[in-house]
Amino acid sequence: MKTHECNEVERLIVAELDEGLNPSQQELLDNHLRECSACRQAKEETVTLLSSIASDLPEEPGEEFWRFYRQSLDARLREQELRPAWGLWWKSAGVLVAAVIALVVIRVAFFQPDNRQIADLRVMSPDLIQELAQVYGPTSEELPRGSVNADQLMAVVDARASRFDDSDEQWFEVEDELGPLYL
Amino acid sequence: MNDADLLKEFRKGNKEVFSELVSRYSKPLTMMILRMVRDPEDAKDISQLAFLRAYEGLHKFMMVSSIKTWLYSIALNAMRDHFRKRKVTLVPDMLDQLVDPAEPTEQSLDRARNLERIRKALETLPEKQRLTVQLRIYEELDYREIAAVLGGTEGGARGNFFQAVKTLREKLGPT
Repeated sequence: MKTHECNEVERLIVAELDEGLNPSQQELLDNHLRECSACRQAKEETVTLLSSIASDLPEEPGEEFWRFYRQSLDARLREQELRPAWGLWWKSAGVLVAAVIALVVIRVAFFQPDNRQIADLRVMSPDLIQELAQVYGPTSEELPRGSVNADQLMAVVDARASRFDDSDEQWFEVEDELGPLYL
Repeated sequence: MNDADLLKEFRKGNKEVFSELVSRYSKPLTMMILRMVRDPEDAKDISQLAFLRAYEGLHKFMMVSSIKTWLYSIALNAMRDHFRKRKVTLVPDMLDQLVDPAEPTEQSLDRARNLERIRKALETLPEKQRLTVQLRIYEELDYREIAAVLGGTEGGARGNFFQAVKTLREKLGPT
């Protein structure tokens, strides 16, 4: 039956076969092995295992292998020597592309329309705003609050149509005028 | 010229000395890889890749460990990358390769089967334990060197070796 000492001895068995033991450890191991058949068996198995692993060696390749090894390694080293210039160029190009993409992403993510500019546009170009209103229909300010049904919407559209009639005519009645002459 | 002198020369811009490093270490390094991957072509590729990486990184190498252990760690990383790319296991089923035509057939087959069992059992170990066993038994590195190659402490490397042997013995029983 395995005892606490058996666990310690298991460690000593591996250490003995691997690096060797100091005299007191060796004495402890020998004394234990005389008494414990399980540990004697463990030692035998460990010896067989380690020698089996050690014997499992591949055949060393011949001269031809090493000659070809050296030739192909030299060729790969020369190829690598030539590569850095291109490598550096590609790295720089990669960094540049990444920077541009990052800038675009930041611009899109944090884009906010400038409402002051739109307000200025209303003051400066009322005709343009009116024309846009004609093209795009009623604004949310013109619609009644809450849900809107089709009749209400059409009423707003008709009211606007009558309001813009004159301006439409004016728009088309603009006479051709001679502009300043540039010589 | 020792390794430290070679390194100084390399840093001065004398790239020719790298050839001397290759002469010194190509055989032990390739054999170390061959003992793990069991295929000469794979071993050649991985070993050359390790030298290419060493050539790139040599000017930054601080000689904290020896060039030998530094090259071994580069080679082990190259080996990992190689097998990750090819998505194959390290030790394929190679009973045919293990049979020695010089031995009587039955004896040869028994030995081959036994070695195959051991290889498969080795494969099931955690990577650090498996590499510790291989570096200790095949390369005869001491535990300080194993710790330098694989990372960790000398005591940790010793513990990994013990744990690996214990697990293998329990898994394989009387071989």
